[in-house]
Amino acid sequence: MMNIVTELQKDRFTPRYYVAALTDNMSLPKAQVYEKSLIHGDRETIIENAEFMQIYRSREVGQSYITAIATTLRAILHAMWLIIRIRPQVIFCNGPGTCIPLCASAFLLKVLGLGWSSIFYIESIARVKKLSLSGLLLYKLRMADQFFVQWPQLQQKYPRAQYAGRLM
Amino acid sequence: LARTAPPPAAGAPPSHPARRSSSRPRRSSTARSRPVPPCLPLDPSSASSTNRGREVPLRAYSSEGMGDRERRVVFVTVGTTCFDALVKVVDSEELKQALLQKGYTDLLIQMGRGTYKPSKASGNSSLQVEHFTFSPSIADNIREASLVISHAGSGSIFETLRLGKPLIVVVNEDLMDNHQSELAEELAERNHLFCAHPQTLRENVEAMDLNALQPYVPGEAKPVVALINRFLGFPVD
Repeated sequence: MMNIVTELQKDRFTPRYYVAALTDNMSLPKAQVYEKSLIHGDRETIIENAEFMQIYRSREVGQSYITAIATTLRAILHAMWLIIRIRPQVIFCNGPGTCIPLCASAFLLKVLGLGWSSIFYIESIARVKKLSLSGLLLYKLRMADQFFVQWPQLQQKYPRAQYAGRLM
Repeated sequence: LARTAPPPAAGAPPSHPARRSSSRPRRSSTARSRPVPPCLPLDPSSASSTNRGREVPLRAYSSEGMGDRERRVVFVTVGTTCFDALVKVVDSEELKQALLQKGYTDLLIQMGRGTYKPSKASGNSSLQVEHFTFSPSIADNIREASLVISHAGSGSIFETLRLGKPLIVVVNEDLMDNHQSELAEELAERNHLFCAHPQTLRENVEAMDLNALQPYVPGEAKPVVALINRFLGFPVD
C-alpha cells in the first residue's frame, strides 16, 4: 500500500486517512513514518493532512466461526461509523479482510445515493493464480471501481481486472 | 496492509554478534545501486573440491579471529513466523556439510517465533553458526550474505531480490492455505530464485547453480497510479 501512497500526488489526495486492524501494530507506524517525512523543516512533528485509525477485525486468525458472527457485525457497524464520519471520496485497499466492511459500507452509501466513494482495490503481489477472499468478494460483487492484480495470469482469469505490472 | 503476525518481542535485543570483519569480501557493494545478477560465480577452487572445499588460514582459529578470513555467509530468515522445520533442517549436519562443500563459511539464522534452538558452533573445519530471534531490519544481514534461505513471505522475498542476492525460498508445509507458495513457485519458474521444501533443501543446495539465476527487475507503482489518476479525471503527468 505504501508503494501506492508514495507515488500519489499528495496535493490531489488529501487529507489521508489510514485505517488498519486493531490488532495490527506494524502497518500504521509505517504510514506515520512516511507522513512525518513529508513535513519539511518543522520542529514540531504535527502531521497535517493525515489521520490514523484502527478498526475492529471481522475475525481474528484462529477465532471460532460462531463468535465470528458477532465480531463481524461489530466490525460492520464500526466500519459504517468510520465511513459516515470520514465521507471519503476515494478508498484504496489492498486485501485484508478489514477492508470488506469499509468497502461494503461505502458501496451501500453509493447505492442509497448518500455519498460517493471511488473504490480502488489492489490485490496482494503474493496472489499469483488465485484471488484472496477479499478480492473475490469485491470482484464478484462488482464493488470496486478499479480492480488491480499484479500478475498477468490473474488478469486473464478475471478479465474485468487490470494488470499494470507489479508494485514491488 | 494489516498482517496477522504479532510484533517482535518488545525490547528484546537481537542476540546476533557484532561481526565487523574489516576484510569482508565486498561483493555486496554493487548490490546497492541496481540489482546485480545474483549469479556471480563461486570461486572455482572452493566449490569443486570434494574435500574441505576451501583453504582456511590458521589465524581463523583464534577467538578474535574474524581477521583476514574470507567469509561467505548464509543468512536464514523466517520473518515473524514460526518455522521450526526449516531451522531444524538448517541445523542438521548434512545441510551444513552441503553448505561447506559449496564454499560457505558462516551460517546466520534468524529464528523468529520458533522454539527450536539451533546449536551455535565455531571451530576449525565446520561452519560458524550464529542465531537470533528478531531484528528491526534484516537488510544489513541480507547485504552481508552470499546466500539467503528464506520462508515464503513476500516481504523477505522481495527485499532479498531487490538487494540482488541468491535466494532459496523454503515453503512451510504446516501452514494452512499455503497461497504463499504460489509466489515462490512463480518466481522460481522465472529463475529469480530457487524453491524448496524443508525435506528437499539439502538436494537443492547441492544441485543449485547460481549462474542460472536471472536478476529480478523491481516493479513500481507509477503505472497503477497513472490509471487511477486517469479514472478520477486528473491530468496524467
